[in-house]
Amino acid sequence: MEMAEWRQTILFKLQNRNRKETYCFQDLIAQHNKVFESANALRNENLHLSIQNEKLRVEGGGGSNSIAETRLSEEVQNLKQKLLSQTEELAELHKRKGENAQQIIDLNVKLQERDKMMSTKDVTIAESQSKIASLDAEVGMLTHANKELKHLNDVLRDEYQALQLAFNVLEEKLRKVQDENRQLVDRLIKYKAKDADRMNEENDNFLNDGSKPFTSKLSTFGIFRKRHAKMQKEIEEACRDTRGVGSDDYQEGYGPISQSTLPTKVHVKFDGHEGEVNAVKWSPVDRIVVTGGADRKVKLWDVSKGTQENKAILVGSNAGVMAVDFDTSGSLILGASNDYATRVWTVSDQRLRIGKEMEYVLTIADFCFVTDLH
Amino acid sequence: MSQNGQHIDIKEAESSLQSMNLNQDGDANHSSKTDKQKVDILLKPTGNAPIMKKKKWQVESDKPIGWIVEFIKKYLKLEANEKLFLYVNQSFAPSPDQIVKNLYECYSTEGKLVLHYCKTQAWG
Amino acid sequence: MANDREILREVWEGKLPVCFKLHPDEVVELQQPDPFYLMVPRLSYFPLVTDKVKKHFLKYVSNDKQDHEMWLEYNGQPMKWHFPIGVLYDFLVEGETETLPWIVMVHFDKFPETQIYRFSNKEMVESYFMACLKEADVLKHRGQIAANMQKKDHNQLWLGLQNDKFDQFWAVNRKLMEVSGESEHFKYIPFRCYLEDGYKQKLVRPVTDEGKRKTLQDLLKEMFPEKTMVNVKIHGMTPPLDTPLQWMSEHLSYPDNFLHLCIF
Repeated sequence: MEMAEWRQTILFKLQNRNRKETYCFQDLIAQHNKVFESANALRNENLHLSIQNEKLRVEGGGGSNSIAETRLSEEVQNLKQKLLSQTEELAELHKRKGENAQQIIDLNVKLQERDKMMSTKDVTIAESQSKIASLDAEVGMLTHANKELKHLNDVLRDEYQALQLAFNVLEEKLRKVQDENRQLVDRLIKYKAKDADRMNEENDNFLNDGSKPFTSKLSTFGIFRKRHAKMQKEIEEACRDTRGVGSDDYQEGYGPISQSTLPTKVHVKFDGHEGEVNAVKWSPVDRIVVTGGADRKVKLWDVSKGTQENKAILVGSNAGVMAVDFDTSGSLILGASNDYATRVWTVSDQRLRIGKEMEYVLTIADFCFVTDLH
Repeated sequence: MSQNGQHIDIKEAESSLQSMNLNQDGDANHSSKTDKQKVDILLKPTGNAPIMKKKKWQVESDKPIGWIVEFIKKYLKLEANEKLFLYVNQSFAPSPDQIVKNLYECYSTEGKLVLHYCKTQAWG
Repeated sequence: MANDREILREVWEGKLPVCFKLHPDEVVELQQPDPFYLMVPRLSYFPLVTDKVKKHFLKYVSNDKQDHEMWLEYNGQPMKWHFPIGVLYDFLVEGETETLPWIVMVHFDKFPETQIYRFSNKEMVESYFMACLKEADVLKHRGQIAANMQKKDHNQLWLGLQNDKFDQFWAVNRKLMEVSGESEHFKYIPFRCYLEDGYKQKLVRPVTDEGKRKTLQDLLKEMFPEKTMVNVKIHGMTPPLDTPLQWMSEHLSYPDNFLHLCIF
């Protein structure tokens, strides 16, 4: 490729071109440019010099004899002018100084005001800080008091629970005493009945004895009869009384205060259950009766209108219901059944609330309604 | 006849733009030969440039690019001092005195010369 | 590969002596200004070298024209600043009658708006130059190399040209002159044929379909099938017709990577 003819031709032509167009002019034009520039520079310098010359000539043409004098006076003039301008400047500066002084005073006043404001603010800040501190202390005290009260409350609650326990124990005792009392009354009645029997026997014996020898003594017999009847009445009364007798009365030795009667007339009679009725309870608030039967049902009856009206049948027990009870508000019903379970129903919607086997087994004798059913 | 037509063309152009008389002396000859020679160009906007309703144009092949630039500016009603740049192949800006024919010969695709125009320098 | 540095050097070295003269109609001083002589690189552009010329002649034109743009004229024709100086010279100056230095008229008045473009600053020349470079790369490598170049490389190319620094310029231009990938030649040859009425461009591949390399003659045949005799001038000389196109593109392209062929 280097040896190609066309390449040599081109190279030759380019070299030729450069020789003809470039190299023979290059130096010439460079030289020319140099000359051109220096000529320009010289021309400028020339111009400058001629101007200077002219100036000098003008200055020189002013004469030479009185030069010193005129120059002096000129100088004096100059100095005077300078002085004048300087005094003016001085006055100006004085004025400015006065203005500045005024400004300083104003600023000082302002500064003082600010200081005052600052101090008042400081005071208020200190006050508020002390207030904050006192409030903090108060808060501390209150929280402390609160804690103490809580503590007190706990103590009281504990005490209350202890008392409740004691109360329960006492109630239990009371029930036992009442049972004892009832047994005692029963025994008394037995004795009295025996007494009456004996007396009757005595009377009969007496009558039999007397009638044989003395038929005239019928009047006496009538008296005995009367006495007998009276005694019988008394015995009946005594029997009735036993229900209202409290244990206290027995201890104190007083007779029963409340008058009780045995129910004699049946108000309503109905067949509530298929099978035995095991339990009955009055609602503490309404005239509603709840019954529990061997047919595993608990039934609610409204007896307020003189007739029975079945309000609800509560189901869920798996064996005969042995006991029922209302809670104090009359809204819940507790039923205990032979499947070792107690259940709670709500009266309002007749739904089983709590059921299944409780963790502890309640015997029917132990059973009592617990209000705290959570 | 042909000279007359060319004259009107020039007048038209001069009313809004200055056409580049690159061929002063060859006008008569040239026009008689290429009077009917037209090429299809497709003008596409780029960047913020407004869209032209008509994209496809037929241009006499001896028109310079500068003429097309002025034409687009007039068509889009741009101010005289607003700039408009044309790009070929989305890569280089042709010289304003470049003849449409040359670009068509070198850069047309499927019988059309695609020119992108925009108001700011794009593929600078 | 553009590796024939001897040729590249010779091409780069080409300078023209130019004598700038202010047009007599525009002189307002009594004294006619001296002509301004300058060696200008053939590969450069007039706006890059005429700062001194403008400064020199400004003193002699009337004040109201001071801000006007300077323009150049040769033989009654305004010169397009965006053509390389070498192209202008080869194209405008008649072959045999040429005499050096080249006498160019300087104008400040009556800017020929319809014939040449204004250039407001050197950046405009730069952006024109870069656009040409990119177009050439589109033809050679589908624009891949120029697009992947950094701004720094563009600056180096431009400053190399502006400051007449051969090594600086070719350090970057070398990449543009490489063949990409497997291929041993460019896709198309970037060139322009200057005629009386402007220039012509066409797609010409550096090899035939059979893979045989094409020469300058092939290009001329493709461009001017009707003409039998075509004279070509580039860089002030007529290259032999059997010069391979690929080599020509690599070595005889102007800095804008185009072969600017003046046709007579």
